[in-house]
Amino acid sequence: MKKIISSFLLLFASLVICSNQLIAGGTGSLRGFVTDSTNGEYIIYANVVVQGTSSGSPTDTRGYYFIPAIPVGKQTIIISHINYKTKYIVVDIKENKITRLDVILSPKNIELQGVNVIGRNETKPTEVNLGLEKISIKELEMIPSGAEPDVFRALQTMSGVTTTGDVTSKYYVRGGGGDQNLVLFNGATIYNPFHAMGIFSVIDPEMISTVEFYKGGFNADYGGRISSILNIVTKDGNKNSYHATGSASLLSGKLAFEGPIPYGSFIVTGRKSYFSEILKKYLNDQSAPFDFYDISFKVNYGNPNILQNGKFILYGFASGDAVKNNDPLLEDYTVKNNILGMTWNQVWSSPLFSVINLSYSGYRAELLPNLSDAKARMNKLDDITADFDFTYVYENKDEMDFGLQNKFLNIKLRQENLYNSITDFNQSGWDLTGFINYRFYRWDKLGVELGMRSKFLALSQGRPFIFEPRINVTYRPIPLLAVKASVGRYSQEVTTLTTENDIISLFEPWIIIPNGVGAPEASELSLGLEAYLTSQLELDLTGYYKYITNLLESNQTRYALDANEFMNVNGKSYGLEFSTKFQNDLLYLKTNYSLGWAYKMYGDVRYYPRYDIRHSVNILAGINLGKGWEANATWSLRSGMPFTPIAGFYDRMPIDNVWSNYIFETYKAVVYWGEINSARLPYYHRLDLSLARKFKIYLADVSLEASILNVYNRKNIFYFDRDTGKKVYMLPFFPSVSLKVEL
Amino acid sequence: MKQKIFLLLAVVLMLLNMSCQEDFNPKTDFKEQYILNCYVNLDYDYYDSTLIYATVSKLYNVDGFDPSKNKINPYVSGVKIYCSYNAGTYQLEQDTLKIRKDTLNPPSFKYDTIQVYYKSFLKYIFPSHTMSVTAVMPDGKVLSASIQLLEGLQLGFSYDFINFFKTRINRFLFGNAFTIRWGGYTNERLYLPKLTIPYEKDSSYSMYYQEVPCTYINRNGKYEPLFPSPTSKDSISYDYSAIDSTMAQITRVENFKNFVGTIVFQMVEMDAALSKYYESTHGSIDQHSISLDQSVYSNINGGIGIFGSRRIITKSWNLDPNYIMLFIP
Repeated sequence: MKKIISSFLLLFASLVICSNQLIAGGTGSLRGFVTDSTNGEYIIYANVVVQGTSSGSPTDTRGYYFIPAIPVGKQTIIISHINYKTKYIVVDIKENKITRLDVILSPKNIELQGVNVIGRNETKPTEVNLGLEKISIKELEMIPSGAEPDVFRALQTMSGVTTTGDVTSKYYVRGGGGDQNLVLFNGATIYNPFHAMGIFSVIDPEMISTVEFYKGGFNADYGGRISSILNIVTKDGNKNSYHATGSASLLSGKLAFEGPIPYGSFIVTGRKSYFSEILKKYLNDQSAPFDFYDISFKVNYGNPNILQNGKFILYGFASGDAVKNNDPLLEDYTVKNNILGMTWNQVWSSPLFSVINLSYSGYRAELLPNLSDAKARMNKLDDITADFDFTYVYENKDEMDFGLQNKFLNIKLRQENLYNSITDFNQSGWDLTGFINYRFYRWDKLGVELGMRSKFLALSQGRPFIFEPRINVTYRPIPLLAVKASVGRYSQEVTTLTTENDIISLFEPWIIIPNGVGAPEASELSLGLEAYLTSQLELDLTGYYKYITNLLESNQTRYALDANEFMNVNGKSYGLEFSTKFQNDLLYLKTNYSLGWAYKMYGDVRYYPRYDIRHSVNILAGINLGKGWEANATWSLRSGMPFTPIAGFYDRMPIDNVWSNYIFETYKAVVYWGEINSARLPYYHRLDLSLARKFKIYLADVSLEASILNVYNRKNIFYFDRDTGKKVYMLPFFPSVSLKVEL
Repeated sequence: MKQKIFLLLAVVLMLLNMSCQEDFNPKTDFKEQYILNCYVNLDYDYYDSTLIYATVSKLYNVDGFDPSKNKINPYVSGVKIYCSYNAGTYQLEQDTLKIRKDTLNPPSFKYDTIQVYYKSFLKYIFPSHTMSVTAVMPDGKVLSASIQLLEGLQLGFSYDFINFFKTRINRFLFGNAFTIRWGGYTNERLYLPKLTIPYEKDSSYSMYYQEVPCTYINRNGKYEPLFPSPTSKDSISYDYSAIDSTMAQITRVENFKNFVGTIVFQMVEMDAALSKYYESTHGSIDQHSISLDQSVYSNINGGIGIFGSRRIITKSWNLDPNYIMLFIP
C-alpha cells in the first residue's frame, strides 16, 4: 500500500511540475459570470465557447467560467444554454492578460423552452465527472409529487439509487447505507435532511438553484462519507426586482420572497405543514400528529468599492419536526437542524479562484417519554466547519484545486435500548484534512484528475488511513463517445445508530465512531461509457465495484451491560448502470436500468441488506402539450427487497399478567422467523402521473398541478408484521393537487 | 392535443389491466425447533415453598398464516427436565394436562391442553444462587439454561408509618407523595409495584381489592388514574391525594360494607433474564418506529424460550381508624 501511495505522489508531483513548461505563448484568458436577464441569478452549466477554436468552458455552480489559452486578438465568444437565447460577443483578447466578460442571457419563452431539462456540456469534452449527476429544478418539477415535490424522490429515479419504500425519501447509493450519503447545503452539512420520519426531505425545491449528486468516484474536494455526495446550492435571489411566490399543497404552505439590495440580492423561503392527515396515507393509517417547518435565507453582497471581484454570502437554514401528542400517556418528539454560514468567493488577479466557507450546523433530536413506556433518548450535535478551497487554472487548460478543511464536532447521545441497556456518549473531535486535485485538460482527447486527501487530525480513535488517493480519467476518442474511469478510497468517521431493521425510525442519532471499533473505509472502482448517439439522445453505461470495511452495526441484542455495544462488519457491492436520455422541445424521456448486488459479511455470516435491489428500472417522461400544458409520468420497477421469511409458528409465553402464578398456562401463537433477509419480496412497480398548467392571471404567474401516485393501485408489500406475519402495503392510489402563484 | 391525451389514457388503461397483486409465499423451509419455557416462582422468604414450572413445545406449521389453524398439539410429553442448584439435582414431575388459558376466548385453537412439568417445595434456595435447568427431549435432543436467582430487596419508605397508615401527615416535611424505594437496584431488572386497599361488600364474604393509582393526570380535559407499569427504576410514588380518592371511591362501590383496615403494597420482581424477555415481547422503543425481525430474548441453549425467576414482595400497614372514618358516609 505504501508503495502504491508513494508512486502515486511521485507521478502527481512530476506532472504538476511539468505543467508550467507547457504554457503556450501568444495567448490570453477570459473569465466572468453568466446571469439570467430576468432575475440576475447565475446560470449554471451554460457553455462559453471561443468560436473557431476548441477552447471553452461550462459555468460552474457559481455561474463562473474561465477559459485560458485563447489566441490574442478579436475573438467571437458564443454563450449558450438550452433554455436561453444564445449570444455572440466579440472580445479583444490581450496577450498574457485575463479579460473579464460578464454575460446576461435572456430566457427563451416558455413555449420554446419545452421540456428541456439540463444542458449538455459541449465545452469541456474531457471533463472528469464519472458518477456525477446534475439535477435541474425542471427535472424536479417533472416528477409527479403527490404531497410535496422532493429532491430526494428525484434521486430515487436515478440509476444506482434505490429506496426501501414509498414512505421514505431515504436513498441508498450503489449498495451503501443511508448514513453514508453526505448532504451539503451551500457547503454546510445537514445531519437530518428529512421531515416526518423520512417521508420528505427538508430541502424545499423553491430554494434550490442547482443540485449536484455524486454517486461515487467523487474527487478529493469531498470526503467524510463513503457512498455519495449531494451538493445543494440555493438561489441567490432576484437581483432586478422584488418577487413573491406562494404555493399550497395538501400537506403544506410555502412562501418565498426575494429581491435586490445595494450590491447584491436576498431570498427568504419558508414552508410549514398544516395538515398531517395526508401522512396517514404514507404510514398505513397510523395516527401521526406531525408538524414541520423549514426556513432558509441567503444574502449576497459584492461591493467592488470594498473588494474588487469578491462576493460575500450569508446563508442560513432551520428546520424542525415535532410529534406532539397532547397526551401525557404518549411520548413527544422533536428534531431540529440549524445552519448558519458565510462564504467569501474571490476571483483573484491571477487565474485563481478561492472559496472560504465558515459554517455552523446543529442537530437536536429528543424523545420525551412523558408518562409512556417509551425510552427517553437525546442526541445533540454541533458542527463548526471552516473550509478554504482554491482553484487555479493554468494556461495549458489544466486546473488545480487545493485546500484545507476543518471540522469541529461535539456530539452528545443518551439512549436506552429495549433491554434497558443505556448508551451514554459525550464525544468531541477535530478533523483537519488537506486535499489537492490536479486536472489535466491539456490534451484534446484525454482528461485526467489526480487527487489526494490527507487527514492530519481525525475525529475518531480508530482513525482511517491517512491518505485517500483518487483518480478520474476521461478518454474521448471521438466527439460522440467517451470512456471514463474512476478509482479511489474513501472514509467516514461519523455514523448513525440505526439498523436496516428499523424501516421507520423516529430517532436516528449521530455518533463519532467510538473507541474500540474501526472507522468505515471504502475502495471503489468504476468504469463508464458515455455516448451521444444524436444531438438529442445520450447513453450512459457504468460498472462499479466497491469493497467496504469496518461498517458499524449496533448490537441490537445487547442484553448484558458488559456486552459489546457495537460491532464491525464488512460489505461489498458491485453492479451495472445503464441510462438513456432523449430531449427535444416536445419530449423529455429518461430511462435507466440498474443491476446490482450488495451484501454484508460478519464472520462466516453473509447477508443482504434491505436495500440490496437486484434489478431496477425507472422511466421518466415529460411531454409539452402546448399552451402551457405539460404532462409527466414516472414508472418504477424494482426487484423485491430482501426480507426475513416465516419459518414456522410457535407458542410464546406472553406474561400478560405478571401477578398470576400460572403464567406458564397462557400462550400466544406467534411467527418464528427464518434466516435474516434470506428471501425476496415480489417485484415493486408503480406509475405516477401528473398534469400541470402554467397561466397568467393579471400580474401573477399561476401553476396548477394535479397528480396521481400509484395510478393502478399496485399493492406493493412494505413489510410483514413481526407478530402476525400479515402483509403491510406501501402507498395506495393517491390523487393530489397543488397550486403555485408567483407575483 | 386530443390525440396526445388519448394516447396517454391508452397507456394508463393498459397498465391498469396489469396485475395489481400477485401470489407470493413469504414462507421458507420449515425446520424443527424446541421451545422451553421454565420459570421459578421464588418464595418471598426464599425458604421452602419455591416452585419451578416448565413447558416444552415444538415449532409447527400451518397452511396459510393463521397459527390457530394448527391441529396438532405442539406440547411435548415425556421430557426429562432436571433442575440443579447448590442443594442438588431434582427431576421435574410431569403434571396432568392443563387447560390452555387463551383457548377460553375465541379464536379457538384446535388443541386446548398443555403439558406442564413442575417441582414444588424446593429447599435450601438462597439469594443469588445459580440455578440450571436441563431438558432431555424424547428424541435425545438437549436444551439447557442457567440463571442467577434474585438476591433479595430491602424496602424503604418516605414516611415510616409505625402505628397506622394515614395521609394526614406533615406534607411540608414529608412531601405530597408516599414513596417506596427498594435496594439492590439494577436497571437490568423490572419491577411491577401495586398498592391496594382491601374492602368487603354486604353481599359477599370475599375480600375485594381496589388498586391505588400513582396519581391522576389530565388527559384531554378529563382526569384519569395513572397506575404503575413494569419499571426498571428503583422507586414508586403515590400521591396522598390519590390514596384519598381511592378511599372515597371504594365507599361509592355498590354494596360497600366496610374497609378491612389495611393498605397493602406488593411488588413483582423479575430477574434479569425474565425482565429482558418481558421487554422484548412487550416493550417498544416508541409508538411510531417500526422495526422488523426484532429478536425475542432467549437464554435457552439448543432451542428458544426463557428460563427466569420472579418473586412477589409484600408489605402491609394498618389504616388509622380516624383516617377511615373520614370516608365513611
